[in-house]
Amino acid sequence: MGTGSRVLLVVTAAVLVGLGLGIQGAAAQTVEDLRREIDRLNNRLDQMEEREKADKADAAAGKQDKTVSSGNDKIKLELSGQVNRGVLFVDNGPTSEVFHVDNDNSSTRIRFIGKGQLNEDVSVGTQIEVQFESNSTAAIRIDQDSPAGPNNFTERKLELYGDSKTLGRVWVGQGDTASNGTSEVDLSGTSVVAYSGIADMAGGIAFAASGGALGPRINQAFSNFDGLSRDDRVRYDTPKFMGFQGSASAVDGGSWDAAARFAGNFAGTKVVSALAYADAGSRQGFDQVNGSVSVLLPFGVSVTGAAGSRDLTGRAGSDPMTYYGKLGYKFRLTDMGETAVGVDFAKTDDLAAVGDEFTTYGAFAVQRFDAIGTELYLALRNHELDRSGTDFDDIFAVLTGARVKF
Amino acid sequence: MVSNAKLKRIAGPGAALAAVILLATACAQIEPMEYTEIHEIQPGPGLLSGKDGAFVLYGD
Repeated sequence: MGTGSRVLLVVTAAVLVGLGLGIQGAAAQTVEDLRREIDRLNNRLDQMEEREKADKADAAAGKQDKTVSSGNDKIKLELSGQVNRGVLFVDNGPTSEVFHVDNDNSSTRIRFIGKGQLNEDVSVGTQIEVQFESNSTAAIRIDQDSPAGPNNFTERKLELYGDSKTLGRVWVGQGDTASNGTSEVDLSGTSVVAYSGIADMAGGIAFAASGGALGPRINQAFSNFDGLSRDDRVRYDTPKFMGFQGSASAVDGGSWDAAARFAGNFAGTKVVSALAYADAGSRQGFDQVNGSVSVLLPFGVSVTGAAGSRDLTGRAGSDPMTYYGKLGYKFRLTDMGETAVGVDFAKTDDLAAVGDEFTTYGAFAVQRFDAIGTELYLALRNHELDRSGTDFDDIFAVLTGARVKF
Repeated sequence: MVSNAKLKRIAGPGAALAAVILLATACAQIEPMEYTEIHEIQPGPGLLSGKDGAFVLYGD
């Protein structure tokens, strides 16, 4: 072997040794990387197992992750609502019809309630509640060709309040006036289909005269004079004292009202009552006095009454007035929920015209299914209108359906 | 203003309501009671929301 060849051999050997060392170093590096990756994956797996354990513990404790979150831990937001649909049969003499309706006794709606606590005494809250009544029982007409609207959400409550346990509560916005609901206290358990506002069942149906001509609608001949309804207002509620509470509101347009309420339990006998005065002369042209009381005895029998009188500005003759009475009974037929039955009677005079006498009587039943938040109901009601010189046929109505709270 | 005629007409139901309220206050064992007005969504369970009857979107 020559010197040149020997040098070439040594160089080649050195290169091979160098390459071998390099490969060995790279392999060691790769193993180290793999080890680190395995450690990372192990940590990730541990975290996932910890999270799964925590979720199971939360689920067992009734705490679930919320899909909506807030940066303010002193605030609570609730969503609730109901669907109330039924079938209504109406016969006004010349015509009978079947309608697929939204029950205006307690309309289909959704509600958002927000609450926040400022300190031990003061809290604030908001309420947004809108209803969506397709073919409302209060809006249908006997001769309509298509469902009654409006085919959209309509306002019920868009308001906020500040509440002090010691000073009371102030409401601002669209919501209940102080007198709203004061003709409608009811402990019978049947209000989903029958209460003092009987025009909610078929109020848009008109009486037919003997010749077939249509006269006043039920909701024109009848009212329970239930205060000033919901409106844009400022309202103040006193704190409750021994079950009593006072309220007053100033309504957009210059109307105002005041009311007193009571709700108490006497050795198992429940009593609720309300009394109100409303002055709507500047806007609606009347002032009125109204009230109601409902008593539920321990064995399930209830008695409910309401009355009111309206003074119409500039109208001669008798003031319109109304009476309502209901006898109810609540009992348990099954473990699924309470059964409530009842009969009622109402009379309104001089509303659509001086001398009018409107009378109605009904019978109804409601079955609750508590586990699914559902009530099934059935009501039968007859409406009569006596008017001097005109002979109106009676209006007979049957409403059946379900209210499902979701 | 409320007319005298109307005052006479509402005297009956007004007196009845007043009597019930006075009877209530006269009773020694008054327990104030929560009452949800009938035009409100009533308390109780819901089909989807369960026993609370409302979805709590956030908060306790």
